[in-house]
Amino acid sequence: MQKIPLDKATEGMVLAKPIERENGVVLMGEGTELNEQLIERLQNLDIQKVTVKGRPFGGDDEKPVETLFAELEERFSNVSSDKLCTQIKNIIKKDIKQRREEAGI
Amino acid sequence: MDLEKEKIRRKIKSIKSLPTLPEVAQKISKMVEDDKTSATELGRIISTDPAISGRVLRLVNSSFYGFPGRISSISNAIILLGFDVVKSLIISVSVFEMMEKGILGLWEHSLGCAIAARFIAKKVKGCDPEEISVAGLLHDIGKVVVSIQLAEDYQEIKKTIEEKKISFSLAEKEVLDLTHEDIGGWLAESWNLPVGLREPISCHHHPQLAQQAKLSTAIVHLANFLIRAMGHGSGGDPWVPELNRKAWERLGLSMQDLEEIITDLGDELESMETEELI
Repeated sequence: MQKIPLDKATEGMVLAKPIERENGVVLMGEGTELNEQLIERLQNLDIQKVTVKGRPFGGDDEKPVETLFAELEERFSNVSSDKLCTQIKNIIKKDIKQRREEAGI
Repeated sequence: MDLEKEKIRRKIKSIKSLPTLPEVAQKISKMVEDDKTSATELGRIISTDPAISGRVLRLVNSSFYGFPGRISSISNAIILLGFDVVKSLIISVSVFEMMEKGILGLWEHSLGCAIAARFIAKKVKGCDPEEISVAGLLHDIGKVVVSIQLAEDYQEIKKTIEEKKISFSLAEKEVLDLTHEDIGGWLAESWNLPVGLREPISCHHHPQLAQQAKLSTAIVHLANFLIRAMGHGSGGDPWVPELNRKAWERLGLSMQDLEEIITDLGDELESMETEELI
């Protein structure tokens, strides 16, 4: 999943996140395959960025989620007895998990 | 014992010759204090240094600020952001190069902290998100001085962190009997930074010591914790810093707020990574 400026979007890319107005009204659903007409419509709606599936612009391959969790534990190893820190760690864990699910990995 | 003291004193003296700001940044500091200065005038002076104005424009057009349209000129940036913020930005981009030469990953850590501070500030009443994000950007400026001006001690600090498994701050204390908070504080004073930037720099690990900018300091304290917790960039050691309970309480955030901040921050870091690739 990558968030890219609309002017870099091309036909065939698939939305990984819905495009919403600020009030939450969905303009295009997740999973929509972009084509020229849709991209033009988004331009007219003044949408600046879209989140698409895959990694069209490359970058490092995503690490396995277990590795991310282990690294997270290591970063928190010095504060493992602090309740507030543990709560924050769990929120980050949840965020990592959610990102992976959204990316379809 | 006395020999030790003498050594430390000499060291402090050598740090006292702190890095100076580029000429254009000094000129601007003076102009900002003059009420009669116009945005156009200030823009013109900044534009005389293409390297600095280029970096300022890059920063205001990145996801760090997230304006919907492109900001094409420095004068426009001044009108949108205000004199003080542009002044702090010029200082930030002036130290950018120093940061890159210093500790690997410190610039990413600092930029991430600035973004985190902005998201936290948006949830906290009675604070200025613009100034606070610049405070986040500059909070570790003392580490830049340590790594560049005290290069030998910096190597010793790195060794101490690895061998004893202690934080950067504790290792600094052991090697220098000083920390990057002390040094950053001196630097902020010598650059005449406002107290809203000075205290988050000099107290970001000890927010209880802030006298005037208590709220800003508490925000940068939490922002620093969060960005380390998310593993973005490097602050010189691999662990999260201590989280001060009083500072956390001062912000009055709920766990729900924190979840939203972490989601927003994660989104922003992801899109920043992509920007680098495109």
